[in-house]
Amino acid sequence: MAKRLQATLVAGLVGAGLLAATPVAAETPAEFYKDNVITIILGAGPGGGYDLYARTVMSHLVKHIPGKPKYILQFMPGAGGQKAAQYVYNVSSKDGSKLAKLSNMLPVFQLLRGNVKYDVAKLNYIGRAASMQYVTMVWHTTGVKSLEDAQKATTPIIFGSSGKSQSNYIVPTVMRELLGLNVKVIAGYPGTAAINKALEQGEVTGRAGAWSSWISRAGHLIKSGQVVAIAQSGLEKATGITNGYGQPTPLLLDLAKNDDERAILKLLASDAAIGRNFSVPPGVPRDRVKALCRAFDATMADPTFLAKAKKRKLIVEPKTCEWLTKTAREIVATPKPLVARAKALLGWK
Amino acid sequence: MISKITTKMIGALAALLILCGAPAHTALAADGQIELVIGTGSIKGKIFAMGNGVATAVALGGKGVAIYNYATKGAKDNLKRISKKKRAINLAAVPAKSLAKAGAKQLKAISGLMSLGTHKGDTVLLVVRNKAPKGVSKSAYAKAVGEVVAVLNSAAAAKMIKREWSGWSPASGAGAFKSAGVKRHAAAAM
Repeated sequence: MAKRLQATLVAGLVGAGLLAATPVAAETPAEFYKDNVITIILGAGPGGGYDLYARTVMSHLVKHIPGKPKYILQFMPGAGGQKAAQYVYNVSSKDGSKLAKLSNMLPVFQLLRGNVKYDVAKLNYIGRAASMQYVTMVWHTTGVKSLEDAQKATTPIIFGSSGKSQSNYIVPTVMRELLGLNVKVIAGYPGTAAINKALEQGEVTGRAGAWSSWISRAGHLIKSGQVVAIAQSGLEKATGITNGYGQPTPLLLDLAKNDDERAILKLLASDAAIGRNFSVPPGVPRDRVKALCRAFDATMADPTFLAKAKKRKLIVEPKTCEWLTKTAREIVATPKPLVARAKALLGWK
Repeated sequence: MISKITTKMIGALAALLILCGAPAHTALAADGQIELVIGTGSIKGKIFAMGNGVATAVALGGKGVAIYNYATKGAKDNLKRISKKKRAINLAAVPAKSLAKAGAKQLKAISGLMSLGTHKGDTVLLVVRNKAPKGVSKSAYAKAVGEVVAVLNSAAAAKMIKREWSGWSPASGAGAFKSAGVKRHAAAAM
């Protein structure tokens, strides 16, 4: 009952928030964007996934925005994407000319780290191009072919991780602390490539990583059956990811034993759901936000965009601005005692 | 101590996120436009603001080319990034004094384009990476660089960039490049 009430309240707040955000501007969106230049601020440097998604989406998005503006990219890396988030939230203009592609980890940082100068629940989301579904893979020599096998394993599965703030640490730690799996995590690897190398050399026997990363950087290990998927982490289950027995891999969220565990798992998997998101800061006139949201939806259905994304091997799993706003607000509404439990579970101070 | 570790962890996360699921890509947009990245400086500084003006001016006045502004750690960082083997930037704003201190390897990787103006008593120079970006031919790259120089020398660009940085005063910069030991690009401003 309480949960239902909470969901209703959040949904109501989302609706109210979208409607009462900021007054409509005197100019129509088409008048504003015509002959204007949109800047998209990225919380990362050039040459990576942020850049690639931003370039691919923006080059098609501007064709669907009324007035067909031009666009430029602005790279602003630093502090895990928080530098860009703080800039977008507090400094950049609020007229709808500044878009952002911010880190999917911001809700986790906001709740678990605190002391941030932004509120993800107040951002005006435009839409999500793809999730960042995490998939837990184990090395074939462990003999583990499914999550059930992992739950029975007497020898610990050793996961490589690049640091405590990262999903490749969070996911196996959650599996150990909440699901009771026999798992050890070795942090300190410089990145995905190093962990993959450690897997191949037998130094570690597991890694949790973004599905897109597995596909693009270690597809050969999947194809040859050297790594086996056992679980997914996110809010929605991706289809087509099977375990060593050819069965669909379970979503960690579905294994929660009660509502509290489910809320904690939801919080810690929120980065996957927030994914490759696009937003504008709070205070942008609501008719411009609406125009950008609908332009984003049209882009995600645009055959030329989809063809380009396919050519660039980009996963496209779109979600609307309304869905993202609701999801972000639900995550931020996680009760404080559960946030404290999540923090303790990860060993974060 | 804890905050130092946290900062390091968050920095490492940024690096990982950049690498996550990122297939290699070219500097060609969907419509065949050549996309170049300019390294400027800190988001609080004037050179970064100038970079926004430059990018906007090229977006509105350039044909077949776009410039994206990269908030770097400044001149030293720009020189490092423009001469990197992988994931290099294509253009950089560098004060003459910093360019004079650049290493031989860095100088060999770049060419001089023009001087942009004066900042804190030093001439700010625009340099370009010699190697064309992945997927872009040498001739197309040279043409795009030439278009950038032409746009930046226009009155419309000056009006736009001066709004961001009052120090904007484009010139050839020939003397500064010569004394730094940087050869000038074929499309360099006269």
